[in-house]
Amino acid sequence: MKALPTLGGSYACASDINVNGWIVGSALIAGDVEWHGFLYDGTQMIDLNDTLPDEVRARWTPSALGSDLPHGVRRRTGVCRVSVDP
Amino acid sequence: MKLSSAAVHRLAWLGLTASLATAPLDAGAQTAFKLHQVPPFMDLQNYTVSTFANAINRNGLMASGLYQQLGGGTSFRCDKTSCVDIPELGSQHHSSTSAEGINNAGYVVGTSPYEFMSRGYLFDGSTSKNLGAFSEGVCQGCNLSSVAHGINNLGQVVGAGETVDGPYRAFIWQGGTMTKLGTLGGDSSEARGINDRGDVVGESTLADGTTHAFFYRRGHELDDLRDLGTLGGSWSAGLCRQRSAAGDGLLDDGRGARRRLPSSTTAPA
Repeated sequence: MKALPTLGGSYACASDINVNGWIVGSALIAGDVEWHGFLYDGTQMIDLNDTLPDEVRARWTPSALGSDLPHGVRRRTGVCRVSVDP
Repeated sequence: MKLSSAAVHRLAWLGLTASLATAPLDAGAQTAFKLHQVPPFMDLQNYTVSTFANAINRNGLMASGLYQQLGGGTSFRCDKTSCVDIPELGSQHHSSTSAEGINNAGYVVGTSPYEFMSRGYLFDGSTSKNLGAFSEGVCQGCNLSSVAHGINNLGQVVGAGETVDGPYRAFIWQGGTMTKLGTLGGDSSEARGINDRGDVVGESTLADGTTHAFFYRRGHELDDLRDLGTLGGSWSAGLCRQRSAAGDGLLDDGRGARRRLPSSTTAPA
């Protein structure tokens, strides 16, 4: 059993693996201030936030959003697996 | 539908199978997972923005997304270097789209807001298709929600759909047809995964109100779900990856545990 690298934070978790052994999940970054999705391709941890489009980052501004949660997202299966459940 | 978090505690390897653990939502059960206690800092609601990758296919394409503390989730299909936005089906309120499964053709399934409902979707790389709902009630399901959790390499999708009576029931969707699965005796069921044989796993309520993992073997009667039991405790749930299935449950001493459920080649009689 081999430990996965982290993204600098204190915790990482995996949610899926493919036939090539690539693993995806989410990990805390340095300072444990955010969870970032990751891809581990057997040699390196790739921070998926680096691959998201700029316009997506622009939409992250919390003040632009309301507080109602008509479609709650809940962590359900796996620390990193986020699903919409009934 | 409300925001809530579940205690989740481990990943296991079953050959090429990834198994994910789940836990029931009541506080007693969460604290019962002593060996795998989820620290409070792991609750996504404590973070402004979180990103995640839920699933990966053989080509390295991922079903990914981000979750925002104050509401709203956006989903993507990503490879190593870039992401494509998965369009939502359309809503009149803040969106919160999930991406939960991906097959080797790159098709992604998840759940999207749709009008004032939720609907499972199938993303083909450019557009999101509404998987619809059970065709029942006064307008043949026009006002019913659905959620999608898994897809296999034949394009069969599983999830759960709202019934006209209220409780959700597991479904298998293929080519525009949503087929309703039965329950283990209770009023609700939910399918989590389907392998390339068409075998399905998920969880269902029993007549006594408890929840157990179920296994549905392709070709059997739609209400012929096999109760996979528990590990001696009160609860279990199932997931499915490729040819194997895996489930999780509570031991009678309250600890969480996992066992491999029947694979498609050794399915229960």
